[in-house]
Amino acid sequence: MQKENTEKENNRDDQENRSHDITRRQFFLKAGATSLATAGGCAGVFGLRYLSPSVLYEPSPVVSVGKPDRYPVDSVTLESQLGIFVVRLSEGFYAMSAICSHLGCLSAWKPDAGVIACPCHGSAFHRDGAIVNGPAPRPLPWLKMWMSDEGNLMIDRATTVAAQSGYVRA
Amino acid sequence: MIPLSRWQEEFKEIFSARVRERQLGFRHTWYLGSLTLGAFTIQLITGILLMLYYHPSVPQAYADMKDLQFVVSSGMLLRSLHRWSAHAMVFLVFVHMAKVFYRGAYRPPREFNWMFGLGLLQLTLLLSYTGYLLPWDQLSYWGTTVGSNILSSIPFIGDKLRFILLGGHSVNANFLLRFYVLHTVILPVAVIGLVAVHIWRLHRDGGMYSAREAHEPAATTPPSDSPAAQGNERTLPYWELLFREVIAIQVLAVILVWIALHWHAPLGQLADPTHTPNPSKAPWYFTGLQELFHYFPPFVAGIILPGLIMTALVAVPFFNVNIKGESLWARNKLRRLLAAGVVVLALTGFLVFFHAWVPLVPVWIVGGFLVLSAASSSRQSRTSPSWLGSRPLSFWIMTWFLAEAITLTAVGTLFRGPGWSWVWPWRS
Repeated sequence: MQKENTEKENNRDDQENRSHDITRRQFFLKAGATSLATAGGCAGVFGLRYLSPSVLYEPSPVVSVGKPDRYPVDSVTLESQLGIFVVRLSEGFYAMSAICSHLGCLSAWKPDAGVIACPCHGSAFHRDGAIVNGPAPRPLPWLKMWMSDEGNLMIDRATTVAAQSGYVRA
Repeated sequence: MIPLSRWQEEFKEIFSARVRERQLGFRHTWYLGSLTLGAFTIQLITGILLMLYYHPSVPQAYADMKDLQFVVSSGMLLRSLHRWSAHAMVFLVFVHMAKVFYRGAYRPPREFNWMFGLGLLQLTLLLSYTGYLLPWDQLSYWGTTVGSNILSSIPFIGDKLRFILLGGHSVNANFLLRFYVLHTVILPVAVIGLVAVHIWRLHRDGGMYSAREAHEPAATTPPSDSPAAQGNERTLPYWELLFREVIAIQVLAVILVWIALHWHAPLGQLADPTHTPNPSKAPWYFTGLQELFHYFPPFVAGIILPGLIMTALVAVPFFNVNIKGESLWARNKLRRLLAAGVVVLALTGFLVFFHAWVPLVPVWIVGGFLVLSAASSSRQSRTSPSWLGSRPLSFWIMTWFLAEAITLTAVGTLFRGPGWSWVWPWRS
């Protein structure tokens, strides 16, 4: 004990100078761990980026559903190729997604019951998109719709608008 | 030429050198672990053969199914065998888990193997789910559409996760290819690795759980290799175990081939994104989950409830009450009865809130038996309570869980029709 204390005192200056030093072994351990962590982090980031495709060969979200007179007044029409409903009331047109807000099945208009029904888990919606029944967490969203210069009804399936926000005049 | 004795040495590394006669009794394990491994082996062989005729692209994948059926010699048999042994594997994994649980074989020192087994259960379900998409028929398409939308229900990162898994915004060719890689490379390799650890660990923990071990305090049981464990009990050489396993797997293979010869694996119409079939049903082992989706929001039914069940299963061997296997009514009977009543009422309230009437039935049936068991435990003397009265807490939780699983699966498979409405199967 005594001897150690004397040694410590003798080496105090020396130790203060060296207190921030690390041994060679510690240095390589830290350098190794840091480079491994960096490589791992970068591999994770690049891996996630690799898994997200940069180019998608998916159809355009903007579609034309043709001339307004295709749709009779007071009708709900499922455009199954596009996954949307085109609804014409006396006030005008609006478009809604036909993809069930629950788990993505394609819902269908049931004229007898007067509801839009999903076959997968039993959700049902009013023709304005409001939930009538079942497990759906959200109403069917309304989609942006406008009349093109050529007189076609255009719908942007990627842009939702507030329900009842307005009707497109024929 | 490597001498036979050398091969024997290698086998002894995997299996115990000698096994106790009792461990081999059919009634202890029903050979469920070996049978599950057998089903997986059939999956590997048939799967690799099917890969030779399958192109994971749209719509060629579906055309390949038709080729396998009508053009490739024995193609239909291989595909049917692959499908039915997949069903068998899912079924066997569940029964194996239940058997291990009810025998108490999850207790220390076997708690790690219990967890590896739970990992294998999840991998099995993932394998069957990814394989489900590959034929690219209507059911594949809509089943995986629904499944992948469960991911979207996760707050904040859900949509991004789904995009990465799908490689796009909807179920498409990228998704098919990704599931193909998962199904044929990543998941099988993971299963093989975990099976190796599972069997090695079984060997380390003293071989198959024996009736003798069940009656002794778990920690004091010596491993089967030690002289104390062997005692004057009859032991058999390792190949006795190997023979029995091979025979069990052969019986399974014969049954599955017979089924595959008589019933073709189903194939629906070509996947059609413009039309959802009505009803759209998952395979039987997922209809229970589908029934849950009818009641609960996707995040609850698809993420929280399965997560809670898995956590509960992992936690089982780490609670002393489960390790001791003491009767639920052994002490503090009144207080425990009260607690059980509160749990049943809370579950009832939760299920009524979501209008979930079907899952309510098992809650009340198991609750009824719980009361019955409490009553029967008091009538008997404390030293020899009735069978029902001496069940531990873990028995009741697992029984409730299995009752829920069976009820939901049965209702989802048999009692649900178009638009997931209630139907009576005998009236259609």
